[in-house]
Amino acid sequence: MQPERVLILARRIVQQIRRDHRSVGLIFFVPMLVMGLLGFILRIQASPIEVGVVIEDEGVRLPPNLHLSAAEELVKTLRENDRLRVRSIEREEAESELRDGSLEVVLIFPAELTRGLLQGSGAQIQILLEGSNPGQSGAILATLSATLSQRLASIAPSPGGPSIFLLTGVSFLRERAQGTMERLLATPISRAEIVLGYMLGFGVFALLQSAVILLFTIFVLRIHYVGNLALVFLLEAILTVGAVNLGIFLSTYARTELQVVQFIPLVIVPQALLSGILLPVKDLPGFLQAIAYLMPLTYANRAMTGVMIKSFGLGQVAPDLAILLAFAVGALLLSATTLRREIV
Amino acid sequence: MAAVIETHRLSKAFGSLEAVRGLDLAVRPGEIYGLLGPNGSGKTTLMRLLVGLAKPDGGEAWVLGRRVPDRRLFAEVGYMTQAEALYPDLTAGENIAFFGALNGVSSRQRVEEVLQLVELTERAADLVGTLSGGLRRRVSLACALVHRPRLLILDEPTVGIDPQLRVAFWAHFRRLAQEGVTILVSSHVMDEAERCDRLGFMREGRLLAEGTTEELKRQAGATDLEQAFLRFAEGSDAA
Ligand SMILES: Nc1ncnc2c1ncn2[C@@H]1O[C@H](COP(=O)(O)OP(=O)(O)OP(=O)(O)O)[C@@H](O)[C@H]1O
Ligand SMILES: [Mg+2]
Repeated sequence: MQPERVLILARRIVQQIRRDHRSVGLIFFVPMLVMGLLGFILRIQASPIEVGVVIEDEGVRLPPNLHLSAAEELVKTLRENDRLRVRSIEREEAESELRDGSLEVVLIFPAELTRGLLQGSGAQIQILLEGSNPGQSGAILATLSATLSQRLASIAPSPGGPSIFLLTGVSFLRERAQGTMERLLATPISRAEIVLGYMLGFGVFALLQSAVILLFTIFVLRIHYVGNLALVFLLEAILTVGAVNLGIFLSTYARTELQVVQFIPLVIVPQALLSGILLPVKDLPGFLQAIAYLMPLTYANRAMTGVMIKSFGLGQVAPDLAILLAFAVGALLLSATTLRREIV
Repeated sequence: MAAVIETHRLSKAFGSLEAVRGLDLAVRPGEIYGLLGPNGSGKTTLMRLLVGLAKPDGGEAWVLGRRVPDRRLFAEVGYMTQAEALYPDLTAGENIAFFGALNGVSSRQRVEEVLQLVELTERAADLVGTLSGGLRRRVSLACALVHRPRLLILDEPTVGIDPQLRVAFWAHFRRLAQEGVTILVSSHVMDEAERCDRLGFMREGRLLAEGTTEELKRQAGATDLEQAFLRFAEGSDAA
């Protein structure tokens, strides 16, 4: 193993892609387009946010016969918003319902709320978000819209995968069709170095791509996130290893570039539909759930949601990372056997 | 071992098709050895076996004293494939530099040198995809030469090369041979074949005849090499 040869190959791949404007577009602009559209759709989509309200507000009794409760007035307003599904719960249930995901936000209206408001002592509504620490905020709607956009944040890394898979598959196919694979194998570079070189070359673009998508999501789609960026990039790196090797492996079964593209409906579309990006995996019927759990993007999506929304640390996403790593290693082994067959 | 290339009963089959059959070949150091033979007679397959790109089914082959396939040989052998095998989206210079670097030669100066050798200095910055067929052949040859290999295996190197440059190529091959580089070259061009030190005539995977131009002509009872070639090739029907 000579790192120098890996770098030589990686540099060549970077050189080739940088020169190919369409590929650059595929890597950097298509994901932005997809994110923009997804953002648009998610903002108007029917699926409402599950809101739990804990009403402890005692209200204020005003003579002669009037009972005034700020909490009830606010909840009434919330119920009128069809993007929210509002349900009354007890304080004790809040924690567990948030954890199992049946509620996304809990608003706690404290006993002194109305009185406090009337007296101007600044009573506050407590807001609990899924998994995160209890915080206080006066801006309920800001928080609610943040919840919506956080769903979007969890999607951020996904639109990148297909382009890396596609580009690797096509480059590898070209390598074989041009005859350069034969020539490459007639140099001292080893198969492992070829695979590593490809991973590094495309890894550079994959990470740049993630950075661009994240920036786009944060600054253009104005999405608030709490994630640890180092973890996001670690996750992205593992996904790239998988995507590159899957591309190498599947390119063996393609004779033309069109045939590489034909793998997209087979490999990419089911993952995009079932991995929890559009619909929570737990809402899928049983057999589709089983399929979903066979696909790496499901774990990637779950981990990314954890990192971006619940500010999970390495420890909490470690199981998902381990499964993704296993998928990546599996793809690596497949691509290695593919290459071994190159000599007949 | 004295011979640079030595094979014993080397065989390679693709399914039921025996591309190389029990072939014995010895090529001496500093020799230009020409492989002749009709299409499909196994020349390319033999070269791929010697480079280590195909695994023999039977027999064995030694190259530069090592039994093939052997990874350590790659940097010492320059292989020019029959097809161009270049990256069309890289420039001529970048292609040569890439293969040079993989073979452990990353000097800019050496790239310039081989570019000059194949008379491509002015087109060095052009994308290979925009070059003409003959110019691409030149880049391909340069890629095989860049790392100064001790053994050159050239599969029809001068196809599509204009006569003037072809003469220059052969002069260079001769110069390299004088410096001790061994060259195994296949060709369908008879006047080129005559420039080889020795020739081997292949048919149906076998080495049918071997020797200098004169010896082959005598053996076939022919007045020139082309006639000898035709006699050997036709022999397949009689046999
Ligand atoms: N990878 C392969 N799979 C199947 N058959 C092959 C393969 N490579 C070569 N052959 C067959 O082996 C035989 C010898 O082919 P080879 O390429 O060695 O011939 P050649 O002498 O180089 O011919 P040409 O002068 O046309 O270049 C041919 O019949 C060819 O079809
Ligand atoms: Mg051939």
